[in-house]
Amino acid sequence: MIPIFSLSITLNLGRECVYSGGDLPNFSVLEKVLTLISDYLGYTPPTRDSVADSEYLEFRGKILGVSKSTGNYTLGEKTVEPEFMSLKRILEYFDIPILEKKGTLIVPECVLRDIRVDPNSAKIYYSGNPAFVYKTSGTSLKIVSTGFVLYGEKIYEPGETIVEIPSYGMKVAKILEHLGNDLIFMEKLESTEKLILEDFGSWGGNPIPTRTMLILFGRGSGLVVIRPFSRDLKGIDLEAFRSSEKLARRVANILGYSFEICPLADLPIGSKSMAIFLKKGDEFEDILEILREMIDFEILDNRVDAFGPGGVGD
Amino acid sequence: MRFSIIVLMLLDLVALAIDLKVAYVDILSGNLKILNVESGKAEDTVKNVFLKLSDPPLGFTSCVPKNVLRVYFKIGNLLVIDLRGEEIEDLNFDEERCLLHQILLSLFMNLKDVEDVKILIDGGKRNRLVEFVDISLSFPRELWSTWPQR
Repeated sequence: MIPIFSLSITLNLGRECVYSGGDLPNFSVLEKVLTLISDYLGYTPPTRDSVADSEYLEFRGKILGVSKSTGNYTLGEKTVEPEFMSLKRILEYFDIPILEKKGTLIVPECVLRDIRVDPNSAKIYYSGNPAFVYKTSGTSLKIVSTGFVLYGEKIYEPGETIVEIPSYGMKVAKILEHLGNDLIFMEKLESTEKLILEDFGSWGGNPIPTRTMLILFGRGSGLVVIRPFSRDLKGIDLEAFRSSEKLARRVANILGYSFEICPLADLPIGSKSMAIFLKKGDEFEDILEILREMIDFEILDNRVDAFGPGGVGD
Repeated sequence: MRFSIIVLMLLDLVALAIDLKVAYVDILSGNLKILNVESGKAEDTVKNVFLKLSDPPLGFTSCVPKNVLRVYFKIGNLLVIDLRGEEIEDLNFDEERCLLHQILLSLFMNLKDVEDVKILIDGGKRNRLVEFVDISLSFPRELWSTWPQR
């Protein structure tokens, strides 16, 4: 028995329409749609065959048949009359995850398969379109959907947070993206929470509060300077030196500046500090933005007023 | 006796021919470069290093003036150098840092038994080399065995 009328339906693979037409497409169309879905979700594509007056589709370990003479469908051992069949029912029969929104069936374009988190890295395994982005905060790494992503049993819509991984004081240092798996390297957040920003030449080497970093700004030729350690201090300045060096090298590297170790008297002894001599054309606010991407900080005091003519290092 | 004198003279000639590694400023790039130069005529390595530092070869310049070294002495692995303040009082910010790096780099490269260098000015401890560089603490070999601006 042939159905008298057929409702219209749209099938999207993620945000892309892959079928629009009658609610019960023929086997040829079904085969194409299921093959496309298989490409994205990592399934083995369907096989189509015919025996006597019946057509069969074998997919994901299940068989869907239709009798040309009666029009009846067989779903495994169950026979269903065509008026009770629909594309949605076929997709559900094959265990394909779908979301229904305003008459549109949406199959996810991406499946997050596994997330493995180590102390210093996270590995994300997926299939399909990488329809997600990584967002970091001081305490976590969020995977946020930019399309329709299946993770576990749920399909996440654009803008939804799929998973939030505690970062245990780490932040994303580098992401290596490969189709199917992304490797995220994490590194410890700088412990600095408070910054004092000051013109070079104004601080006079005075001590700064603990858990605070001093950054002096001046005009120059593109140079980042930190204080050396000295054996006279029997190691008490080593930790400040190491952490200043690590951050200052990264700042210099990102800005394309030179890095120098020199005991500028303005930099306090035994404290985390650096002096940045901005190249002509580089702006203080831009440098702050770059720092913000590297460390979480709040500005305790900002007295940078420099950059008038005749600054040190001009 | 005569043989001994000849041997001593030969040793002296060999000593004079020993190369020094000295840091100069490349005029074209403005960067410090390490050059192998023939040792000077002073009686010891420290004096020869300062002699050569103030006498750059063609194409190079130096922030180290002549006669800047007053005296020096060693205490174990610490080398104390005493500089004449009047010779360096006019150095600007870049020159002051350049002088420090040239001196430390050249001394550490040529004096393998020195682990730290302490700088005095006019016979006494000072906080500033000129205006910007703090010299109140000694300088360790680890940081100045290679040029610290990278």
